[in-house]
Amino acid sequence: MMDKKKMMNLTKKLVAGCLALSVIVAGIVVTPKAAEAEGEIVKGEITYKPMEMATYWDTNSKTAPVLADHIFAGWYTADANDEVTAIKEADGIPANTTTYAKFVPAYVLSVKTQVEAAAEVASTATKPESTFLRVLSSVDSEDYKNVGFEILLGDGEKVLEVAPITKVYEGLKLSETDTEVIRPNGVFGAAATYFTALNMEDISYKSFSSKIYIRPYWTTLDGTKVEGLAKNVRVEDKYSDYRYISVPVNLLTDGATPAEVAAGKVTMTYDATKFTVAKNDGNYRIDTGRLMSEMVYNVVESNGVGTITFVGNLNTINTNIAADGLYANIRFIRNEGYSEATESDLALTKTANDFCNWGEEKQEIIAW
Amino acid sequence: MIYVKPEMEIIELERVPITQLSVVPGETVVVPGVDASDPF
Repeated sequence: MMDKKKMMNLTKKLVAGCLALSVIVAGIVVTPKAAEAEGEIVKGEITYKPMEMATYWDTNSKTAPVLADHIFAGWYTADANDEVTAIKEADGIPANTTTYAKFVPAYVLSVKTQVEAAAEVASTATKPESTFLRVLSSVDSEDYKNVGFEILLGDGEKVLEVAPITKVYEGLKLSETDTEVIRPNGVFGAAATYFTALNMEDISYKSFSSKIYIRPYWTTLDGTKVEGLAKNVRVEDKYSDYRYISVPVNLLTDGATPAEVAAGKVTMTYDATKFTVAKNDGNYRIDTGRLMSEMVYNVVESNGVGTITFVGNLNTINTNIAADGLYANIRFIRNEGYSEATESDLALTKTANDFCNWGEEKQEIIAW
Repeated sequence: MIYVKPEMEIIELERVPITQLSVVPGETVVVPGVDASDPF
């Protein structure tokens, strides 16, 4: 971690660079409800936006269009009554018909995990030799070819081979005797209809504290592979007496192509009476994401308010990076007396409006 | 010597359509697994 003075200097330099070309509007990032623009079809939290499929799709190359806070979920046609139909890959681009890009809230394609009850305690006496980690994501409908997870173990040097998945689930239990059933809309949000799930089996206790990077994806019926919100997890995050909460910070962009960033700043505040950032050797430790290899960050907890400032990046200041993926991953610890506090109790307030590209042009990036 | 002429068997391969995801109804315990036993 960089010392505070150096970091402030870097922050000033970056922000000054961005400011030179545009006014930075700093503010609270909230998830906007999609305003219904002309020609859009909105069904609940799902938006079908008229877009030119040929701009993004041909038989050999398919890229996903983007919409802030949303994930692309396939190309569709619509009839006069706004009934939508997925375009299949074999059908190609339909002639003389408006094509719609379907967007679902980004939380649908995010990651949550479970461990078996025996691993939920940290004491050595009861710690099992191995456990499984159940990895969960969701879909809004059956209209996908397949779904899956990209999983990197440790510091990312080891890739876990995971075959594409074609079965999805209405409800899940951890064991036959478990009475608790979880539902996708309760775990992820209203637009999540089915779980996608994978068990990482026989994880040795030696790896319980090791980092596991997970990014979910789906392949739409038109054959576009779309990646979702990534997360770092550790088996020990689930130990009830460690009281960890893993909070990923992903960067998403709004535009025809993923915006490119060279540097930027994200500031987050949280209730420091309930939560603290995990430490290692007395220093706050936050996992760097996969976009920017040497994240610089600073954590201050004062008068009940915690403030985390990320500045990225010293080494990429002269290089553009597509802002599409894991930027950083925070491990919060619930403070004594708040063992029941959950991720939603964190109420993180995010300010993430001052990213710029290599040319110091301001880029609209949202930390999610 | 008996010669046996093998019958040509023609199997009409059904073209497998690209289908949607299949939904497992109700409450499920067992989901696909991947071996993660090597320490990492």
